[in-house]
Amino acid sequence: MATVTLDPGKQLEHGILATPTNEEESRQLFVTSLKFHLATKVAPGNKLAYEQRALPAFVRERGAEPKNRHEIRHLMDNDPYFRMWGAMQRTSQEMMWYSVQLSVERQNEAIQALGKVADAPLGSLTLHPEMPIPAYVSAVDIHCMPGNYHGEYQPDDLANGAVYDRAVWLYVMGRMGPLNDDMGQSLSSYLQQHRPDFKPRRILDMGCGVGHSTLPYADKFPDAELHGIDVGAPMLRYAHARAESLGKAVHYSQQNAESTDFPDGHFDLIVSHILVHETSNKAIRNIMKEAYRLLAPGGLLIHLETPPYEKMSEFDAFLLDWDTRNNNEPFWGGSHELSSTELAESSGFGADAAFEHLQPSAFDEAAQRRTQKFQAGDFGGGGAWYLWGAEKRA
Amino acid sequence: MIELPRQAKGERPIYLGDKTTDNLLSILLALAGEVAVLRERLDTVERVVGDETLKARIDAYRPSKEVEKERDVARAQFLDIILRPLKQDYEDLGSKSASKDYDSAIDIVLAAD
Repeated sequence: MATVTLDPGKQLEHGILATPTNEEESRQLFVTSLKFHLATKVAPGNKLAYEQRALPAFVRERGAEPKNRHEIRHLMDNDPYFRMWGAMQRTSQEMMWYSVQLSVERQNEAIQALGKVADAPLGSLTLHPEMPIPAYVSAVDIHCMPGNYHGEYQPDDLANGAVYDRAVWLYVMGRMGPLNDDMGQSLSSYLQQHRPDFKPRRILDMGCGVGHSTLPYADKFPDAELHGIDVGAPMLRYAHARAESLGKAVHYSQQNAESTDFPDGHFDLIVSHILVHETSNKAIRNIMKEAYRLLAPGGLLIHLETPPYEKMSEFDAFLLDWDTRNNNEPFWGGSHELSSTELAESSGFGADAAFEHLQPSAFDEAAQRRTQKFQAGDFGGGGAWYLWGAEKRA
Repeated sequence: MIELPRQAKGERPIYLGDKTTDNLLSILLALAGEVAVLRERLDTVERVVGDETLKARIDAYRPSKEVEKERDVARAQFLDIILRPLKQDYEDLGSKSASKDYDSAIDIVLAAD
């Protein structure tokens, strides 16, 4: 593939992207403008509403401050400013999906045709239509995306993959780069900076979605065999076509990360990017055990997320926790209270094999548009990613 | 042409006291978006044409029957977009999917075994 020039201010129009018309782009960019406005000019007022009226009223009545983020939530649920911000935030999310759906629907036939990859692909696609979708994915439509990761509406459907690819760029306000790959770039940069001698032969990306975070590993570790798994078939069909159009060799397969069909010790590196918070208390324990089985001795497991609540104030944790009940992320809160050492211990790695690290975002160009806060409705604005995982002893 | 589902599975919280007020806000924001789209479209037209007499010609323009038909379709889609929340209520009345308690999703993911 020819080397492409990336414009840091625009999503790369790779072969299968649902490219908007002039008018569709205006509608989509309005949502991004609205989200940025909410994050920078409305969301900060929530703290004022809390400190200046909700908290003093609570203290007058109860003689003490709220004990935890749950009490703060019950208190703030009655605050009109917080409620208006929430209503607008939720609506911006719904407008985002709709603005992209209209564009994808118009181009449906062309996108479906582009999904039929040419005869000699660099990578591969293996689907298992009989595979059950786990309850933690199917209970609600994650991120309020109608149809979720697995919804299919026509034969060999990849429409929701196309919707997701474009919508993520709008959701993060372009701050994850022209390829939406800041998470994969940041995690792989961590490896290069902190473990320069680590040379994985096989790499697995769990919960790869449309492959935003998978592809950087193809560039950083060109000699490694690269695999991506996900439960959503439309995501994987789209991921395969997208990787091929970008000239990257990735083997995608439809599998649940709790129990895969790879042999023992098959991988040197297993990564996930914002997978953990889409699972469940039970599933993450299974995923840890499965990763331990799949890793070769000396192998690494690294999950990327936003920082856990214990590292922030109860009020900031309450704000970040908004997604749990308002953006169809039921395990968002639960996943931010997991203990990496406890999970490493119970999955076989051993508590002393666990590690945590805060890695700066690799996509520097977005620094001016980041709020440097981990808050709801501002994903990718923090300027850093929380890494946690474990090393399998050699 | 396909039409993807517009509604995400999962109960939508009430923010402003009642569903009607929430709907009014959603309509207002969608309408604001469409106004922005329209302004940019006009701006695009003026820049693309780049003709000093454009404004006078626009004022004098009367659409043909074919153009009227196209505009009927466009207005219908415009209303679909900005009045979407009302259609969602209508769909809720005919469907039980949205009535499932959100706490049941939290229970599923937090269950220890």
